[in-house]
Amino acid sequence: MNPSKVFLNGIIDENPTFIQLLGMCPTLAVTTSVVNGIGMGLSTTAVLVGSNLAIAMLRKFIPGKIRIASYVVIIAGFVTLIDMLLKAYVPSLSKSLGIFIPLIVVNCIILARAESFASKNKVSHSSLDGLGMGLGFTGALVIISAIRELLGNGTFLNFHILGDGYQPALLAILPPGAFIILGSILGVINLIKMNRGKNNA
Amino acid sequence: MRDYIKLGGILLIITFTVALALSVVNSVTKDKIAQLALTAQSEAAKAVIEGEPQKNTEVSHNPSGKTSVDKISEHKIENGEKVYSVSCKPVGYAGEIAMTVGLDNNLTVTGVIITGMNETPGLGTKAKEPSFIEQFLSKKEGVSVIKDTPNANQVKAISGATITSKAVAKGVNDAISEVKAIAGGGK
Repeated sequence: MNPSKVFLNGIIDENPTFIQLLGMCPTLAVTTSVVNGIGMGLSTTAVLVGSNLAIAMLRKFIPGKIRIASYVVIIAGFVTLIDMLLKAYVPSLSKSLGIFIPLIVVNCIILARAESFASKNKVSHSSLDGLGMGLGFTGALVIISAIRELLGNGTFLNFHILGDGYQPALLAILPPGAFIILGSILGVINLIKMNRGKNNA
Repeated sequence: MRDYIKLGGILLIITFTVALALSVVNSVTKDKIAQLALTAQSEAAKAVIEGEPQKNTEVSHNPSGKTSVDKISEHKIENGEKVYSVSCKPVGYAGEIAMTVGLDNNLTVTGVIITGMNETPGLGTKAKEPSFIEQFLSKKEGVSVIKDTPNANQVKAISGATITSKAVAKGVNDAISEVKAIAGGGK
């Protein structure tokens, strides 16, 4: 498999959020502002690259029977590491992401990539897969959070875009808004995919 | 049997390595994290009290019943008066609200600052805004929250976030009563 294909796979063809529908819980919960989306996305990317790399390296060493337990230990280790680093060096981000950082441990994207990709592929491809999947996840979070922040607060990255006259649609920032906007985006993506299928046929 | 020992051994090696890596990172970051927490706390204290603190001491208190008070610090300011900064954690709509209340030696509120909360964005988070939080300035014991026009010792609730408003008021009241208990009723 060629490396660029492995990388792009996670960003577009098998986008973890929009196509595989993995990691829905953090997706819905943290996308109230673009800053949060970027922070969560990049932290997850770091964990994905690290865990994919470690698991691909150890794939011959870890026996099949205890693979899941080993993956969980490795992933939890990386998450705790990132949590400590963020707390020490980027305290503002760590504060706004709060509980979601420890929750990366149970983000199914990470376990899914460990099980379905890193445990079967070589180290270079696996870390590239982690990077692609992570950036795909980040991109998805940024798209959702940009829409929610713009509609619900009139801002983008905390800059006022829509002016003072705009009456923010609070619903977009509240949990129901997350479901509605995610659903609409998925609908648009499916529409594009269906149209593409028709043209090819 | 040998298989079990082998599996256990491998798992042990993995967990041991992960624990080792974590302890290394922890030893690098733990001082920095503790220092940041300390700075944040002293900055919050400085923001809520009046005057330049000369000497800061943490005062022990006996938490009574359902008080939300976490820590009380006594600050001696230039003119020798004692003022207090109290950090408390009243429970709001979505978990604890971390806040610091400043009191002068007459137990009058000189400042309130919210340092952390998980309240609903756009509703409960308005508690941080000056239009709400500054209502507590120069209030005394027994502040209450009301939805209409507030009287002397009352504050106007944030519309749509009454629980948050009440929690902040509870924090302020708890702070006053705890300091009253240790300071012997003020002067």
